[in-house]
Amino acid sequence: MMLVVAGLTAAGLYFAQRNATGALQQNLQRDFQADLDGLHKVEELRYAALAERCRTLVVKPRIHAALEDNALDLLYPSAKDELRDIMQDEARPQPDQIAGIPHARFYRFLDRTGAVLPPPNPGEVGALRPDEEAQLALKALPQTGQIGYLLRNAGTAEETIDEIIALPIGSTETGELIAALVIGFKPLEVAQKRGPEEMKSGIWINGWLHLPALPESARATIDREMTRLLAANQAEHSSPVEIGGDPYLLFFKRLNPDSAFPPVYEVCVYPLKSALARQHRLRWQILGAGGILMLIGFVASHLIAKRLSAPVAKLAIDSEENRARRKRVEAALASKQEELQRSSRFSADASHQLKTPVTVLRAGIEELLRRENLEPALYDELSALHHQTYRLTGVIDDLLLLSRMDAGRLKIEFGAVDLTPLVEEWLDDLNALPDPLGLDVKAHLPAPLLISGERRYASLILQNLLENARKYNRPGGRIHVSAREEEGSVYLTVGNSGPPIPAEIQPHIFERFSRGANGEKIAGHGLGLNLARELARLHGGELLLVSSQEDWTEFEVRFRPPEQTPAPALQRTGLKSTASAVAFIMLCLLPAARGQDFLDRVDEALTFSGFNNIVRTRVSGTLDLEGYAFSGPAPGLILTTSDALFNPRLSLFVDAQLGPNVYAFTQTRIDRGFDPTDHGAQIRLDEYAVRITPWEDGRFSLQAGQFATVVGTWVGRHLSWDNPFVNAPLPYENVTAIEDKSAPSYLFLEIGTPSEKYEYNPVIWGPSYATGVSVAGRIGRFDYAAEIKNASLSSRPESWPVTRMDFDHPTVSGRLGFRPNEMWTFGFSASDGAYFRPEAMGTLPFGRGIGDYHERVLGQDISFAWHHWQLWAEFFEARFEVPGFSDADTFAYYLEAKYKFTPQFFGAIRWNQQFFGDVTNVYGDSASWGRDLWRADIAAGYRFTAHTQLKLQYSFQRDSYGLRDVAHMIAAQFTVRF
Amino acid sequence: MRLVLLFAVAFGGMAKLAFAQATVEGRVELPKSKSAPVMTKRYEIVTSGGVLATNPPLAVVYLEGSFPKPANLPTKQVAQKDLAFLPALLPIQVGTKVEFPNLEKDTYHNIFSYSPAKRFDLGRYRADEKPVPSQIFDVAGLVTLRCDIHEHMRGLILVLATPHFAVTDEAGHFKLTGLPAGHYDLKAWVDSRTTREHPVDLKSGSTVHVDFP
Repeated sequence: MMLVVAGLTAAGLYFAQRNATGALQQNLQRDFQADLDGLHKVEELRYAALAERCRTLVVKPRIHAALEDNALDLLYPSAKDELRDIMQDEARPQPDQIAGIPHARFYRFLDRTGAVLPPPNPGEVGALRPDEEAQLALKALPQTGQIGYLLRNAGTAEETIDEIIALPIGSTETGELIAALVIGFKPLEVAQKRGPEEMKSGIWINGWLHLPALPESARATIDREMTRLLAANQAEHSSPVEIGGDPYLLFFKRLNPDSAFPPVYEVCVYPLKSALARQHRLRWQILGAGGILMLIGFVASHLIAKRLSAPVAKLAIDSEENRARRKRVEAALASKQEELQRSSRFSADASHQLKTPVTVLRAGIEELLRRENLEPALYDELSALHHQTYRLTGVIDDLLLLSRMDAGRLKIEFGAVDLTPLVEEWLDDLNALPDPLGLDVKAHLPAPLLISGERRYASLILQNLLENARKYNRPGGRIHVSAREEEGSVYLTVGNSGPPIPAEIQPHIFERFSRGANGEKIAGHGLGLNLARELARLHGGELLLVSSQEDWTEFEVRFRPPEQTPAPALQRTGLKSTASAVAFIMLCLLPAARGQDFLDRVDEALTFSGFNNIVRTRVSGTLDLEGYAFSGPAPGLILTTSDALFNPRLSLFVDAQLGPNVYAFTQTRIDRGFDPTDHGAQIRLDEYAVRITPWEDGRFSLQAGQFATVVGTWVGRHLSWDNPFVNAPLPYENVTAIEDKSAPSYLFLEIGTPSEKYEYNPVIWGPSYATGVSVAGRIGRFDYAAEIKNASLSSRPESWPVTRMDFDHPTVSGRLGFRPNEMWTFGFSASDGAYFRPEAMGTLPFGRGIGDYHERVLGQDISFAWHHWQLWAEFFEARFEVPGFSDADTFAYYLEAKYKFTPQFFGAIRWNQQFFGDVTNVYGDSASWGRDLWRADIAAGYRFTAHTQLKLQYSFQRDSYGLRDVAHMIAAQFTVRF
Repeated sequence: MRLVLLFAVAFGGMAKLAFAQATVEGRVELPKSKSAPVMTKRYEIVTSGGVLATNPPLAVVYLEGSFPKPANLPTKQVAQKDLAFLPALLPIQVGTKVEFPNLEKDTYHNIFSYSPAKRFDLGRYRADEKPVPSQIFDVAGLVTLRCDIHEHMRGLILVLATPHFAVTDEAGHFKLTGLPAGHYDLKAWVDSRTTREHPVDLKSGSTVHVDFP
């Protein structure tokens, strides 16, 4: 058990480490992108506000006159007053923003040709050096706004970068572009939210890196790297760089894509040093978790052992407890993940981004409202719109609060809050409002009504309830507020007269954007009750609809009294990931621990019998959850282009016994492919057969259908429950250069890309479930088996079904076994059959047929069992005949040993090797037709119960091409059998 | 309005009666009116594609040539009434002083021009501003009048180097009298981008008929 857990931890570490750097880079890049997206949004807003400003600017008579009457020299004096508020006034501090526009540092006009119109008095429009001013010019007036950047005082201590926006100004009379306004601002910080020791960001402009936080030498390094990367013509990129001996990640992205101004890039460097340190810490955390896990494992195994002897009743109780615990863990895990997901992309900018457009809108409406001579009808309409903008702000506030709660960001600062003054405050407000309903409001509250909570949020709950009581009331109605203390809780009840909430709506009133029946008539947006309930729950309380019938609706909110504060929420620290990992492993293990009784019951349920037990049917199956990770191309029959694969598989077996002599079985699989691939799910019937056993002593049986080959001994134990390893021995999964759809080429080259793996053939493909008829039996110390199948041992799964391949060129195989005693078995197998599929016909030389190309296999097997040892070995000599050229010979074998440390825990090692013979090509050259290779597998497995098993495997493979072709693989397989 | 114009033309003609005998009359083909005439007919300056013209259309016909500059020129007026310039189009001889009286009840105006022919800014002034704000126009060319307070207001002053000019009536008819004998170019200003011309031989006592197509 200990070793299993240690292995598990090691596997976890391996996965974590392998992917950590890549994941880190991806995360950083995503953050970087999100930051830039946020920046672009703000820029868009800023641009929209400025464009509007320009549109209003050109209709001003003086500016209009300057532009239309060929008097551009009067543009600055005319614009001075109009743009005064845009410019930052050093002497008089002003609010940072004016209607969504930050204060500008300078502005200039461009004339028809895009040249800068020199201002007569630069002090008024922001002084610029002549070379700086020249950078504002454009080749032609832009049709749309252009974003650029201006480097000022480069190389000095005052080096700054200003963001510039050029906006076209069109003639209101001819529609032609006649000028442009270029405004310069302090640029928005991209990565200001992060700590200073983390990411450093700067701007790359005209071959100059503006990143004051970095020392000169580091800037030179980045300069070089940027020049190199930009020479490769990349608009965005990330690349690792080394600065002063420390590893850094460098990201960059063009800030002003498609702009007429010179390209400018946002450049970020992220030090990997601390990330690596964090990774190191994480490793220790996982190790810690492994330790805890081991402890849990010991306790669990102890419990299981104990439980075996415990009465059945206790088993049932334990099972219930386990179920409850699992549910809790599941719920905790689910909420944890959800929380993480939600909070991950929540941005504090949301408020700004949502509210700014509303503010701009409101300011616009206010400006309209200030106009003289507005028609009364229009004025009313505008006033209504103006009012709506406040409502919109309210909705945004509520949504933001809700999203903060969703993201788990809202923390209640618990303290004693007196509800009575809160209610009274609201009642005072109510009295100040015009009250067309003429409500009778009564509050019966004790002088201090103390609860535990935070004042502003408790007040929000009350406000929502009281507002609703007012809004949904009837003329001349009543509101009644009362409170009571009961069973250590404080209850506040708000009742109001008015039409009741229809019964069918009542269950939904706490959902978002849900409104009462007459909601359409009443202002509100359906968030209030949801918000109130969520807040009440955050306070450790609850909000309920007590009743709503006839003329009276009553809500009750429960709070905790002040001395009882709820336990602090799970600490969100670095341990978070560790906790999740432990929870996940717990989840995997819990079914194992509790599986016994449940799966026993399933077993019983899946066995059917009838007709006086003459017919017995049993449904069984295995659920395999496999994971692979490998360096280099995926080995064996694993087909994926990535370096890791998760491969779930559900195998269902139906066994039916009809009387003493007839037996039938099927194996159906749902998985991602017969062999592990990253394809989508598929369902297949892999095996089906009927077996007739005329004599009960087993001397003879006849079987027909699609089933595993009789050759060798591994096939007999190839199912996941019986195989000590996750994968198959080498001869069963190492594809050679033989293709069954086309004749061998003059030179036996290696197989093409790994993605074409399934087009080639091994010596034996897996258990070789081809279709045919077999006979088998046992006579004394000998057993025999022979079969005639539609496809060769090397055939691929696509050839196995009888619908895919007929019996024109059958394969005949057989095995003869000898069992001198209970310790040893020896076997000899042979197989002979055509290895081409019909499609290959067209590729064969003239005069040749499919029947001329045979795969001939001779196999020997030995197995040995002694105490807790089991040994197997198989040797295959295979020949793919190629008439006219040399035959392709190969020799493959494996030696496997398994040792059971305990009845539940086993370990296994396997040595696999394959050699390829030489072939002579048309030129008379002789060369090996494949790469000799060897592979070592080591595995450990633990059977938690009779139904669950976990296996871990590590494989190391090396082929004749030297060190370059070393491959590692780690695999884990969790099997549930029922 | 038309009376004022006719009066101005007649007055201008009479002043030169002493030394000029020839007369030119005819018709300028005016562009179609942009909008249907309204009851209280007023001229306004409209722009279309950057071209300034009066609406309904009017033309100014003038005799180009070098003429002695008179010792003193009469003062002209462009008034502001009901948020419009009155007249909307005023031809004057170079050197003429133009007054800009504000004839509104309670409204301020701020008449200015950024036109190359004359840049000025009268600042804000009341209805009863004394002395009446005025400008002398020394350079020939078209001057666009605007008001800083009322952005829709437009007026045009056509500053000409000649004393012989007349504004057509709405049908395009014009008559220039008291012209000196000789060979001249007769020009018709139709809008800010269109000026037609026609050579004329004037003999004392004769009347020449010229139609601008």
